[in-house]
Amino acid sequence: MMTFVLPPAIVQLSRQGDALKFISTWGPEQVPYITASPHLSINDNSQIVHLELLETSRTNRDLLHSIWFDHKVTVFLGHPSDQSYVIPAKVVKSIVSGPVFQTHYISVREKLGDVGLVAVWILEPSEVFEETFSVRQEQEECRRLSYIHLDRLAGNTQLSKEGSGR
Amino acid sequence: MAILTPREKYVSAVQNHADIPSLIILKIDVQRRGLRYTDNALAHVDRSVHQLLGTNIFGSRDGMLLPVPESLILRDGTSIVASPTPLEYHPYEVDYMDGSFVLTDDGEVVEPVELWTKPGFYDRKTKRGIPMEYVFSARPQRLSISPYRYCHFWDNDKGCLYCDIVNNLRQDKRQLGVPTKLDIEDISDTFAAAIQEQGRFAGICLTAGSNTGGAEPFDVEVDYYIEVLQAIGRHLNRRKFPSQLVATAFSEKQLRRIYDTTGIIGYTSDIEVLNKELFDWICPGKAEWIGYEEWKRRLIQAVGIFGRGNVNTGIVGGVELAKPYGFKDEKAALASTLEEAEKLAEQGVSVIFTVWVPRPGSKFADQKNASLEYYVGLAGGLQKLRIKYGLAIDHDDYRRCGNHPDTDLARLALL
Repeated sequence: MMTFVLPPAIVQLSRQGDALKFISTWGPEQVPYITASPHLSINDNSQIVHLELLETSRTNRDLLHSIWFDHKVTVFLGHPSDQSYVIPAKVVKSIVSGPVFQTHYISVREKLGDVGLVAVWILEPSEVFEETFSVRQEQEECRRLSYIHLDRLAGNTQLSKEGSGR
Repeated sequence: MAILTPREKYVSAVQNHADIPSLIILKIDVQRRGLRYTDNALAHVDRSVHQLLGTNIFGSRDGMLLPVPESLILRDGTSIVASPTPLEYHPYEVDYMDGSFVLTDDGEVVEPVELWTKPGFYDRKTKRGIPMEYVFSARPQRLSISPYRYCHFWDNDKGCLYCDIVNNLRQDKRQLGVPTKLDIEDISDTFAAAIQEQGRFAGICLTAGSNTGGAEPFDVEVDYYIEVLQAIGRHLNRRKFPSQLVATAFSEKQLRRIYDTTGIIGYTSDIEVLNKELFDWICPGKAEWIGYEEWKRRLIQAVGIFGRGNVNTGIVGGVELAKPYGFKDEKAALASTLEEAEKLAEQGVSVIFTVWVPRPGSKFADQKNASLEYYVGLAGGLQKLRIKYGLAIDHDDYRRCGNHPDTDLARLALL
Protein backbone atom coordinates (compact mmCIF):
# COMPACT_ATOMS: atom_id res chain seq x y z
CA MET A 1 0.00 0.00 0.00
CA MET A 2 1.34 3.40 -0.97
CA THR A 3 2.12 5.45 2.07
CA PHE A 4 0.89 9.01 2.46
CA VAL A 5 3.56 11.34 1.08
CA LEU A 6 4.59 14.16 3.37
CA PRO A 7 4.95 17.57 1.68
CA PRO A 8 8.53 18.71 0.99
CA ALA A 9 8.14 21.62 3.44
CA ILE A 10 7.67 19.17 6.28
CA VAL A 11 10.57 16.99 5.19
CA GLN A 12 12.73 20.10 5.05
CA LEU A 13 11.55 21.24 8.47
CA SER A 14 12.41 17.84 9.96
CA ARG A 15 16.00 18.33 8.86
CA GLN A 16 16.43 21.71 10.55
CA GLY A 17 18.55 21.56 13.68
CA ASP A 18 16.22 23.85 15.63
CA ALA A 19 13.00 22.10 14.63
CA LEU A 20 10.60 21.19 17.45
CA LYS A 21 9.78 17.48 17.43
CA PHE A 22 7.34 15.74 19.75
CA ILE A 23 5.48 12.48 19.78
CA SER A 24 2.17 11.90 21.50
CA THR A 25 1.18 8.35 22.36
CA TRP A 26 -1.27 6.52 24.56
CA GLY A 27 -1.20 3.11 26.12
CA PRO A 28 -3.22 0.97 28.49
CA GLU A 29 -4.10 4.00 30.66
CA GLN A 30 -5.64 5.74 27.61
CA VAL A 31 -4.09 9.04 28.62
CA PRO A 32 -2.16 11.00 25.98
CA TYR A 33 1.54 11.15 26.75
CA ILE A 34 3.82 13.62 25.01
CA THR A 35 7.59 13.50 24.87
CA ALA A 36 10.28 15.19 22.82
CA SER A 37 11.63 13.14 19.93
CA PRO A 38 14.81 15.07 19.11
CA HIS A 39 16.16 12.44 16.71
CA LEU A 40 12.96 12.10 14.72
CA SER A 41 13.50 12.01 10.97
CA ILE A 42 11.66 11.22 7.76
CA ASN A 43 13.03 8.45 5.58
CA ASP A 44 12.99 8.08 1.79
CA ASN A 45 9.64 6.24 1.96
CA SER A 46 7.99 9.24 3.63
CA GLN A 47 7.86 7.31 6.89
CA ILE A 48 8.60 8.94 10.21
CA VAL A 49 11.48 7.38 12.13
CA HIS A 50 11.51 7.71 15.91
CA LEU A 51 14.63 6.56 17.74
CA GLU A 52 13.92 5.23 21.21
CA LEU A 53 16.81 5.26 23.62
CA LEU A 54 15.11 3.88 26.74
CA GLU A 55 13.56 0.44 27.06
CA THR A 56 11.45 1.54 30.03
CA SER A 57 10.19 4.82 28.59
CA ARG A 58 6.45 5.21 28.53
CA THR A 59 6.68 6.33 24.91
CA ASN A 60 8.39 3.05 23.99
CA ARG A 61 5.74 1.10 25.85
CA ASP A 62 2.92 3.09 24.24
CA LEU A 63 4.33 2.66 20.74
CA LEU A 64 4.29 -1.08 21.34
CA HIS A 65 0.71 -0.80 22.54
CA SER A 66 -0.11 1.00 19.29
CA ILE A 67 1.44 -1.64 17.03
CA TRP A 68 -0.16 -4.44 19.05
CA PHE A 69 -3.64 -2.98 19.31
CA ASP A 70 -3.68 -0.96 16.11
CA HIS A 71 -4.19 2.64 17.13
CA LYS A 72 -2.48 5.76 15.93
CA VAL A 73 -0.02 8.13 17.52
CA THR A 74 0.52 11.79 16.74
CA VAL A 75 3.72 13.54 15.79
CA PHE A 76 4.26 17.29 16.14
CA LEU A 77 6.78 19.06 13.95
CA GLY A 78 7.29 22.77 14.34
CA HIS A 79 9.62 25.70 14.49
CA PRO A 80 9.72 28.63 16.95
CA SER A 81 9.31 31.02 14.04
CA ASP A 82 5.64 30.02 13.72
CA GLN A 83 5.50 26.69 11.93
CA SER A 84 3.39 23.86 13.31
CA TYR A 85 2.29 20.58 11.81
CA VAL A 86 0.38 17.78 13.50
CA ILE A 87 0.76 14.37 11.86
CA PRO A 88 -1.34 11.36 12.88
CA ALA A 89 0.55 8.16 12.08
CA LYS A 90 0.21 4.42 12.25
CA VAL A 91 2.97 2.49 14.01
CA VAL A 92 4.09 -0.10 11.48
CA LYS A 93 7.39 -1.49 12.66
CA SER A 94 9.74 -1.77 15.59
CA ILE A 95 13.26 -2.56 14.45
CA VAL A 96 15.16 -3.97 17.41
CA SER A 97 17.97 -5.85 15.67
CA GLY A 98 19.61 -6.30 12.30
CA PRO A 99 21.54 -4.01 9.95
CA VAL A 100 19.13 -1.04 10.04
CA PHE A 101 19.07 -1.09 13.82
CA GLN A 102 22.84 -1.36 14.04
CA THR A 103 23.34 1.54 11.63
CA HIS A 104 21.17 3.78 13.80
CA TYR A 105 22.83 2.42 16.94
CA ILE A 106 26.25 3.45 15.70
CA SER A 107 25.01 6.81 14.44
CA VAL A 108 23.24 7.76 17.67
CA ARG A 109 26.30 6.84 19.72
CA GLU A 110 28.48 8.95 17.45
CA LYS A 111 26.19 11.90 18.14
CA LEU A 112 25.42 11.42 21.82
CA GLY A 113 28.28 9.41 23.28
CA ASP A 114 27.73 6.45 25.58
CA VAL A 115 24.02 5.88 25.15
CA GLY A 116 22.06 2.87 23.97
CA LEU A 117 19.35 2.46 21.39
CA VAL A 118 16.45 0.11 22.02
CA ALA A 119 14.25 0.49 18.97
CA VAL A 120 13.87 2.22 15.65
CA TRP A 121 10.15 2.84 15.37
CA ILE A 122 8.71 3.30 11.90
CA LEU A 123 5.51 5.35 11.66
CA GLU A 124 3.40 5.84 8.55
CA PRO A 125 1.73 9.24 8.41
CA SER A 126 -1.89 9.25 7.32
CA GLU A 127 -2.46 13.01 6.97
CA VAL A 128 -1.08 16.37 8.02
CA PHE A 129 -2.83 19.12 9.92
CA GLU A 130 -1.38 22.57 9.43
CA GLU A 131 -1.37 24.27 12.82
CA THR A 132 0.84 27.23 12.03
CA PHE A 133 -0.97 30.00 13.84
CA SER A 134 -0.86 32.68 11.15
CA VAL A 135 -2.13 30.22 8.56
CA ARG A 136 -4.89 28.85 10.77
CA GLN A 137 -6.01 32.33 11.84
CA GLU A 138 -6.37 33.44 8.29
CA GLN A 139 -8.32 30.31 7.40
CA GLU A 140 -10.66 30.71 10.31
CA GLU A 141 -11.36 34.34 9.76
CA CYS A 142 -12.07 33.76 6.11
CA ARG A 143 -14.37 30.81 6.62
CA ARG A 144 -16.10 31.46 9.92
CA LEU A 145 -17.23 35.05 9.98
CA SER A 146 -18.99 34.66 13.34
CA TYR A 147 -15.88 33.52 15.18
CA ILE A 148 -14.61 36.86 16.40
CA HIS A 149 -15.18 39.07 19.38
CA LEU A 150 -16.90 42.28 18.45
CA ASP A 151 -14.33 44.44 20.15
CA ARG A 152 -11.85 43.33 17.57
CA LEU A 153 -14.11 44.88 15.00
CA ALA A 154 -14.61 48.12 16.85
CA GLY A 155 -13.36 51.07 14.87
CA ASN A 156 -12.76 49.00 11.84
CA THR A 157 -15.82 49.99 9.88
CA GLN A 158 -17.36 53.22 8.83
CA LEU A 159 -20.56 52.15 10.54
CA SER A 160 -19.03 51.74 13.95
CA LYS A 161 -17.29 55.06 13.72
CA GLU A 162 -20.54 56.84 13.03
CA GLY A 163 -22.68 54.68 15.31
CA SER A 164 -25.81 53.05 14.11
CA GLY A 165 -28.09 54.39 16.81
CA ARG A 166 -29.77 51.01 17.25
CA MET B 1 -20.25 -28.70 15.70
CA ALA B 2 -18.14 -27.78 12.68
CA ILE B 3 -14.44 -28.62 12.84
CA LEU B 4 -12.38 -25.45 12.52
CA THR B 5 -9.35 -25.27 10.25
CA PRO B 6 -6.06 -24.21 11.87
CA ARG B 7 -6.54 -20.77 10.32
CA GLU B 8 -10.04 -20.48 11.75
CA LYS B 9 -8.73 -21.48 15.17
CA TYR B 10 -6.21 -18.67 14.99
CA VAL B 11 -8.89 -16.13 14.03
CA SER B 12 -11.09 -17.43 16.84
CA ALA B 13 -8.27 -17.12 19.39
CA VAL B 14 -7.64 -13.52 18.32
CA GLN B 15 -11.35 -12.75 18.74
CA ASN B 16 -11.52 -14.48 22.12
CA HIS B 17 -8.51 -12.69 23.59
CA ALA B 18 -8.80 -8.99 22.84
CA ASP B 19 -6.23 -8.25 25.55
CA ILE B 20 -3.53 -10.38 23.93
CA PRO B 21 -1.90 -8.92 20.79
CA SER B 22 -2.59 -10.86 17.62
CA LEU B 23 1.14 -10.87 16.82
CA ILE B 24 1.85 -12.80 20.02
CA ILE B 25 -0.98 -15.22 19.27
CA LEU B 26 0.56 -15.68 15.84
CA LYS B 27 3.97 -16.34 17.36
CA ILE B 28 2.45 -18.98 19.63
CA ASP B 29 0.68 -20.63 16.72
CA VAL B 30 3.82 -20.71 14.58
CA GLN B 31 5.82 -22.20 17.43
CA ARG B 32 3.01 -24.66 18.07
CA ARG B 33 2.40 -25.76 14.49
CA GLY B 34 5.89 -25.13 13.18
CA LEU B 35 6.88 -23.81 9.79
CA ARG B 36 8.36 -24.77 6.46
CA TYR B 37 10.18 -22.74 3.84
CA THR B 38 8.98 -22.79 0.25
CA ASP B 39 11.54 -23.36 -2.49
CA ASN B 40 10.92 -19.78 -3.55
CA ALA B 41 11.78 -18.54 -0.07
CA LEU B 42 14.91 -20.66 0.08
CA ALA B 43 15.99 -19.32 -3.31
CA HIS B 44 16.00 -15.81 -1.79
CA VAL B 45 18.02 -16.68 1.29
CA ASP B 46 21.35 -14.88 1.20
CA ARG B 47 23.96 -16.90 3.06
CA SER B 48 26.11 -13.83 3.50
CA VAL B 49 23.31 -12.00 5.33
CA HIS B 50 20.90 -14.54 6.81
CA GLN B 51 21.60 -16.90 9.66
CA LEU B 52 21.15 -20.54 8.74
CA LEU B 53 20.13 -23.33 11.09
CA GLY B 54 23.18 -24.22 13.10
CA THR B 55 24.12 -25.85 16.31
CA ASN B 56 21.48 -25.70 19.03
CA ILE B 57 21.01 -27.47 22.32
CA PHE B 58 17.74 -28.96 21.05
CA GLY B 59 17.13 -30.42 17.63
CA SER B 60 14.94 -29.42 14.73
CA ARG B 61 11.33 -30.53 14.68
CA ASP B 62 11.80 -32.55 11.52
CA GLY B 63 14.94 -34.15 12.94
CA MET B 64 17.12 -32.76 10.17
CA LEU B 65 19.93 -30.26 10.09
CA LEU B 66 19.54 -28.59 6.72
CA PRO B 67 20.80 -25.23 5.43
CA VAL B 68 17.52 -23.38 6.03
CA PRO B 69 17.05 -20.06 7.87
CA GLU B 70 17.43 -20.24 11.63
CA SER B 71 14.16 -18.46 12.28
CA LEU B 72 12.01 -15.34 11.98
CA ILE B 73 11.32 -11.93 13.46
CA LEU B 74 7.97 -10.13 13.31
CA ARG B 75 7.37 -6.44 12.63
CA ASP B 76 6.97 -5.63 16.34
CA GLY B 77 10.43 -7.02 17.08
CA THR B 78 9.07 -10.31 18.41
CA SER B 79 11.27 -13.31 17.68
CA ILE B 80 9.77 -16.59 16.58
CA VAL B 81 11.85 -19.59 17.50
CA ALA B 82 10.62 -22.38 15.24
CA SER B 83 12.15 -24.96 12.97
CA PRO B 84 11.06 -26.88 9.87
CA THR B 85 8.19 -29.15 10.74
CA PRO B 86 6.54 -32.15 9.05
CA LEU B 87 3.38 -31.36 7.08
CA GLU B 88 1.12 -33.40 9.38
CA TYR B 89 1.36 -30.59 11.95
CA HIS B 90 -0.09 -28.04 9.46
CA PRO B 91 2.98 -25.80 9.60
CA TYR B 92 2.91 -22.20 8.47
CA GLU B 93 4.83 -21.48 5.27
CA VAL B 94 7.49 -18.87 4.75
CA ASP B 95 7.36 -17.59 1.18
CA TYR B 96 8.91 -14.71 -0.74
CA MET B 97 6.63 -12.19 -2.48
CA ASP B 98 7.14 -8.70 -3.92
CA GLY B 99 10.63 -8.34 -2.55
CA SER B 100 10.06 -9.61 1.00
CA PHE B 101 9.56 -12.71 3.05
CA VAL B 102 6.01 -13.41 4.22
CA LEU B 103 4.34 -15.88 6.49
CA THR B 104 1.42 -17.66 4.89
CA ASP B 105 -1.25 -19.97 6.24
CA ASP B 106 -3.34 -22.07 3.92
CA GLY B 107 -2.15 -19.92 1.00
CA GLU B 108 -3.15 -16.66 2.68
CA VAL B 109 -0.50 -14.06 3.48
CA VAL B 110 -0.63 -13.52 7.22
CA GLU B 111 2.29 -11.23 8.06
CA PRO B 112 5.55 -9.89 6.66
CA VAL B 113 8.54 -11.49 8.37
CA GLU B 114 12.28 -11.06 8.36
CA LEU B 115 14.91 -13.72 8.65
CA TRP B 116 17.42 -13.55 11.48
CA THR B 117 20.62 -11.80 10.51
CA LYS B 118 23.87 -13.72 10.67
CA PRO B 119 26.39 -12.23 13.09
CA GLY B 120 29.81 -11.40 11.68
CA PHE B 121 31.65 -13.83 13.95
CA TYR B 122 29.89 -16.79 12.29
CA ASP B 123 32.40 -16.53 9.46
CA ARG B 124 35.43 -16.62 11.75
CA LYS B 125 37.42 -19.30 13.53
CA THR B 126 39.01 -19.33 16.96
CA LYS B 127 42.81 -19.33 17.32
CA ARG B 128 42.58 -23.10 17.71
CA GLY B 129 40.68 -23.33 14.41
CA ILE B 130 37.17 -24.05 15.71
CA PRO B 131 34.41 -22.29 13.73
CA MET B 132 33.04 -19.65 16.08
CA GLU B 133 29.48 -20.50 15.10
CA TYR B 134 29.95 -23.80 16.96
CA VAL B 135 30.96 -21.99 20.11
CA PHE B 136 28.28 -19.32 20.49
CA SER B 137 24.99 -19.30 18.61
CA ALA B 138 22.95 -16.18 18.02
CA ARG B 139 19.39 -15.06 18.31
CA PRO B 140 18.51 -11.59 17.04
CA GLN B 141 19.83 -10.00 20.23
CA ARG B 142 21.15 -12.84 22.35
CA LEU B 143 24.41 -14.73 22.46
CA SER B 144 23.80 -18.33 23.50
CA ILE B 145 26.36 -20.81 24.64
CA SER B 146 25.91 -24.46 25.53
CA PRO B 147 29.47 -25.39 26.47
CA TYR B 148 28.65 -28.89 27.65
CA ARG B 149 26.06 -30.64 25.56
CA TYR B 150 25.62 -33.90 27.43
CA CYS B 151 23.01 -34.39 30.16
CA HIS B 152 23.96 -36.98 32.78
CA PHE B 153 20.34 -37.74 33.59
CA TRP B 154 20.57 -39.80 30.40
CA ASP B 155 23.27 -42.04 31.98
CA ASN B 156 20.68 -44.33 33.51
CA ASP B 157 18.01 -43.50 30.95
CA LYS B 158 16.35 -40.89 33.11
CA GLY B 159 16.43 -37.94 30.74
CA CYS B 160 13.29 -35.81 30.56
CA LEU B 161 10.77 -37.50 28.30
CA TYR B 162 10.21 -34.50 26.01
CA CYS B 163 13.97 -33.80 25.66
CA ASP B 164 16.29 -34.68 22.77
CA ILE B 165 19.47 -33.02 24.04
CA VAL B 166 21.76 -36.04 23.84
CA ASN B 167 20.37 -37.35 20.55
CA ASN B 168 20.74 -33.85 19.10
CA LEU B 169 24.30 -33.66 20.39
CA ARG B 170 25.08 -36.89 18.59
CA GLN B 171 23.64 -35.45 15.36
CA ASP B 172 25.62 -32.20 15.72
CA LYS B 173 28.82 -34.16 16.38
CA ARG B 174 28.20 -36.44 13.42
CA GLN B 175 27.16 -33.76 10.92
CA LEU B 176 29.07 -30.70 12.08
CA GLY B 177 31.85 -31.99 14.27
CA VAL B 178 30.66 -29.88 17.21
CA PRO B 179 32.58 -30.92 20.36
CA THR B 180 30.67 -32.18 23.42
CA LYS B 181 32.56 -29.83 25.70
CA LEU B 182 33.92 -26.46 24.61
CA ASP B 183 37.40 -25.26 25.34
CA ILE B 184 37.61 -22.11 27.47
CA GLU B 185 40.05 -20.52 25.02
CA ASP B 186 37.58 -20.97 22.16
CA ILE B 187 34.84 -19.45 24.29
CA SER B 188 37.02 -16.48 25.13
CA ASP B 189 38.07 -15.90 21.50
CA THR B 190 34.51 -16.10 20.22
CA PHE B 191 33.04 -13.88 22.89
CA ALA B 192 35.71 -11.25 22.23
CA ALA B 193 34.79 -11.29 18.53
CA ALA B 194 31.03 -11.19 19.15
CA ILE B 195 31.05 -8.11 21.35
CA GLN B 196 32.87 -6.13 18.68
CA GLU B 197 29.60 -6.05 16.73
CA GLN B 198 28.00 -2.78 17.78
CA GLY B 199 24.34 -2.94 18.73
CA ARG B 200 24.11 -6.64 18.01
CA PHE B 201 23.87 -8.44 21.35
CA ALA B 202 21.97 -7.46 24.48
CA GLY B 203 22.62 -10.49 26.67
CA ILE B 204 24.30 -13.82 27.15
CA CYS B 205 22.53 -17.07 27.89
CA LEU B 206 24.59 -19.92 29.28
CA THR B 207 23.08 -23.36 29.53
CA ALA B 208 24.19 -26.97 29.47
CA GLY B 209 23.11 -30.45 30.31
CA SER B 210 22.98 -31.40 33.98
CA ASN B 211 26.18 -32.90 35.32
CA THR B 212 25.73 -34.86 38.52
CA GLY B 213 29.47 -35.22 39.23
CA GLY B 214 31.36 -33.65 42.13
CA ALA B 215 31.79 -33.85 45.90
CA GLU B 216 28.32 -32.41 46.21
CA PRO B 217 26.16 -33.51 43.24
CA PHE B 218 26.42 -30.97 40.40
CA ASP B 219 29.66 -29.38 41.70
CA VAL B 220 31.32 -30.27 38.39
CA GLU B 221 28.56 -28.43 36.50
CA VAL B 222 28.91 -25.42 38.82
CA ASP B 223 32.71 -25.33 38.44
CA TYR B 224 32.47 -25.31 34.68
CA TYR B 225 29.87 -22.52 34.61
CA ILE B 226 32.12 -20.43 36.83
CA GLU B 227 35.06 -21.04 34.54
CA VAL B 228 33.02 -20.06 31.47
CA LEU B 229 31.48 -16.98 33.06
CA GLN B 230 34.82 -15.76 34.33
CA ALA B 231 36.34 -16.17 30.86
CA ILE B 232 33.48 -14.08 29.46
CA GLY B 233 33.68 -11.52 32.25
CA ARG B 234 37.34 -10.82 31.58
CA HIS B 235 36.29 -9.11 28.34
CA LEU B 236 33.87 -6.71 30.04
CA ASN B 237 34.42 -3.58 32.08
CA ARG B 238 31.57 -4.14 34.53
CA ARG B 239 31.52 -6.80 37.24
CA LYS B 240 27.89 -7.76 36.62
CA PHE B 241 26.66 -7.97 33.03
CA PRO B 242 23.40 -8.86 31.21
CA SER B 243 23.37 -12.62 31.53
CA GLN B 244 21.25 -15.63 32.27
CA LEU B 245 22.28 -19.02 33.57
CA VAL B 246 19.81 -21.78 32.71
CA ALA B 247 20.88 -24.69 34.85
CA THR B 248 20.08 -27.36 37.40
CA ALA B 249 18.52 -26.34 40.71
CA PHE B 250 21.68 -25.88 42.72
CA SER B 251 22.10 -25.79 46.47
CA GLU B 252 22.34 -22.42 48.18
CA LYS B 253 26.08 -22.92 48.67
CA GLN B 254 26.60 -23.66 44.98
CA LEU B 255 24.48 -20.75 43.85
CA ARG B 256 26.19 -18.36 46.22
CA ARG B 257 29.52 -19.47 44.77
CA ILE B 258 28.36 -18.83 41.20
CA TYR B 259 26.84 -15.44 42.04
CA ASP B 260 29.79 -14.20 44.07
CA THR B 261 32.54 -15.24 41.68
CA THR B 262 31.03 -14.33 38.31
CA GLY B 263 29.10 -11.55 36.56
CA ILE B 264 25.87 -13.52 36.29
CA ILE B 265 22.65 -11.63 37.13
CA GLY B 266 19.78 -13.91 36.09
CA TYR B 267 19.12 -17.49 37.14
CA THR B 268 16.68 -19.89 35.54
CA SER B 269 16.21 -23.43 36.71
CA ASP B 270 13.56 -25.24 34.74
CA ILE B 271 11.12 -27.34 36.70
CA GLU B 272 9.49 -28.26 33.35
CA VAL B 273 6.03 -29.18 34.69
CA LEU B 274 4.16 -27.78 37.68
CA ASN B 275 2.78 -30.96 39.18
CA LYS B 276 4.64 -33.38 41.44
CA GLU B 277 3.29 -36.62 39.97
CA LEU B 278 3.87 -35.45 36.41
CA PHE B 279 7.34 -34.16 37.32
CA ASP B 280 8.25 -37.59 38.72
CA TRP B 281 7.05 -39.23 35.52
CA ILE B 282 8.30 -36.73 32.91
CA CYS B 283 11.58 -35.69 34.56
CA PRO B 284 12.81 -38.88 36.26
CA GLY B 285 16.42 -37.70 36.46
CA LYS B 286 15.49 -34.41 38.11
CA ALA B 287 13.17 -36.31 40.45
CA GLU B 288 15.88 -38.82 41.34
CA TRP B 289 18.64 -36.31 42.03
CA ILE B 290 16.72 -33.36 43.49
CA GLY B 291 12.96 -33.92 43.69
CA TYR B 292 9.99 -31.68 43.02
CA GLU B 293 9.62 -29.97 46.39
CA GLU B 294 13.36 -29.48 46.77
CA TRP B 295 13.55 -28.00 43.27
CA LYS B 296 10.97 -25.41 44.24
CA ARG B 297 12.66 -24.77 47.58
CA ARG B 298 15.97 -24.12 45.82
CA LEU B 299 14.31 -21.70 43.40
CA ILE B 300 12.87 -19.72 46.29
CA GLN B 301 16.24 -19.78 48.01
CA ALA B 302 17.83 -18.39 44.84
CA VAL B 303 15.69 -15.25 45.16
CA GLY B 304 17.65 -14.43 48.30
CA ILE B 305 20.85 -14.44 46.26
CA PHE B 306 19.83 -13.04 42.87
CA GLY B 307 16.94 -10.84 44.00
CA ARG B 308 13.28 -10.67 43.04
CA GLY B 309 12.70 -10.58 39.31
CA ASN B 310 16.03 -12.26 38.60
CA VAL B 311 15.00 -15.85 39.25
CA ASN B 312 12.59 -17.85 37.18
CA THR B 313 11.70 -21.36 36.19
CA GLY B 314 10.63 -22.65 32.81
CA ILE B 315 7.89 -25.08 32.02
CA VAL B 316 7.41 -27.00 28.81
CA GLY B 317 3.95 -25.62 28.16
CA GLY B 318 1.48 -28.35 27.29
CA VAL B 319 3.58 -31.28 28.46
CA GLU B 320 1.27 -31.48 31.47
CA LEU B 321 -1.25 -32.90 28.98
CA ALA B 322 1.06 -35.68 27.76
CA LYS B 323 -0.44 -39.14 27.50
CA PRO B 324 -1.12 -41.34 29.33
CA TYR B 325 -0.64 -39.76 32.78
CA GLY B 326 -1.11 -36.08 32.02
CA PHE B 327 -4.20 -33.98 32.56
CA LYS B 328 -7.05 -35.10 30.36
CA ASP B 329 -8.66 -31.69 30.29
CA GLU B 330 -6.98 -28.46 29.19
CA LYS B 331 -9.03 -26.25 31.53
CA ALA B 332 -8.00 -28.31 34.54
CA ALA B 333 -4.38 -28.35 33.39
CA LEU B 334 -4.29 -24.59 32.94
CA ALA B 335 -5.95 -23.87 36.28
CA SER B 336 -3.62 -26.23 38.12
CA THR B 337 -0.50 -24.87 36.41
CA LEU B 338 -1.39 -21.25 37.13
CA GLU B 339 -2.22 -22.10 40.73
CA GLU B 340 1.21 -23.65 41.25
CA ALA B 341 2.85 -20.77 39.37
CA GLU B 342 1.18 -18.31 41.72
CA LYS B 343 2.65 -20.06 44.77
CA LEU B 344 6.11 -19.54 43.28
CA ALA B 345 5.37 -15.96 42.22
CA GLU B 346 4.33 -15.14 45.80
CA GLN B 347 7.89 -16.09 46.80
CA GLY B 348 9.50 -14.01 44.05
CA VAL B 349 10.01 -16.79 41.47
CA SER B 350 8.64 -16.10 38.03
CA VAL B 351 7.32 -18.90 35.81
CA ILE B 352 7.82 -18.74 32.06
CA PHE B 353 6.91 -21.26 29.35
CA THR B 354 8.09 -22.53 26.03
CA VAL B 355 5.64 -24.07 23.62
CA TRP B 356 6.13 -27.82 23.81
CA VAL B 357 7.45 -29.14 20.53
CA PRO B 358 7.40 -32.95 20.40
CA ARG B 359 10.83 -33.63 18.92
CA PRO B 360 11.73 -36.78 17.02
CA GLY B 361 14.74 -37.44 19.24
CA SER B 362 12.64 -37.50 22.42
CA LYS B 363 10.52 -40.15 24.06
CA PHE B 364 7.45 -37.99 23.53
CA ALA B 365 8.12 -37.81 19.77
CA ASP B 366 4.67 -39.08 18.84
CA GLN B 367 2.68 -36.88 21.19
CA LYS B 368 0.77 -33.70 20.32
CA ASN B 369 1.11 -30.33 21.95
CA ALA B 370 -1.80 -28.32 23.37
CA SER B 371 -4.35 -26.13 21.62
CA LEU B 372 -3.71 -22.53 20.66
CA GLU B 373 -6.36 -21.43 23.17
CA TYR B 374 -4.45 -23.22 25.90
CA TYR B 375 -1.18 -21.48 25.14
CA VAL B 376 -2.80 -18.06 24.85
CA GLY B 377 -4.41 -18.58 28.26
CA LEU B 378 -1.09 -19.70 29.70
CA ALA B 379 0.78 -16.68 28.30
CA GLY B 380 -1.77 -14.20 29.62
CA GLY B 381 -2.05 -15.99 32.97
CA LEU B 382 1.67 -16.10 33.67
CA GLN B 383 2.19 -12.45 32.76
CA LYS B 384 -0.74 -11.43 34.99
CA LEU B 385 1.01 -13.16 37.89
CA ARG B 386 4.18 -11.18 37.24
CA ILE B 387 2.19 -7.95 37.30
CA LYS B 388 0.31 -8.99 40.46
CA TYR B 389 3.54 -9.77 42.33
CA GLY B 390 5.67 -7.02 40.80
CA LEU B 391 8.15 -9.34 39.13
CA ALA B 392 10.33 -8.14 36.26
CA ILE B 393 11.69 -10.71 33.80
CA ASP B 394 14.44 -8.70 32.12
CA HIS B 395 16.94 -11.55 31.85
CA ASP B 396 14.48 -13.74 29.96
CA ASP B 397 12.45 -11.20 27.99
CA TYR B 398 11.77 -10.64 24.26
CA ARG B 399 15.20 -9.14 23.73
CA ARG B 400 17.42 -11.35 25.89
CA CYS B 401 15.59 -14.58 24.97
CA GLY B 402 12.62 -14.32 22.60
CA ASN B 403 11.28 -17.83 23.08
CA HIS B 404 8.55 -17.18 25.64
CA PRO B 405 5.22 -15.69 24.55
CA ASP B 406 4.40 -14.79 28.15
CA THR B 407 7.57 -12.74 28.60
CA ASP B 408 6.92 -11.00 25.26
CA LEU B 409 3.85 -9.61 26.99
CA ALA B 410 6.07 -8.17 29.71
CA ARG B 411 7.08 -5.47 27.22
CA LEU B 412 3.87 -3.66 28.08
CA ALA B 413 4.47 -3.70 31.82
CA LEU B 414 6.33 -0.74 33.26
CA LEU B 415 7.62 -2.24 36.49
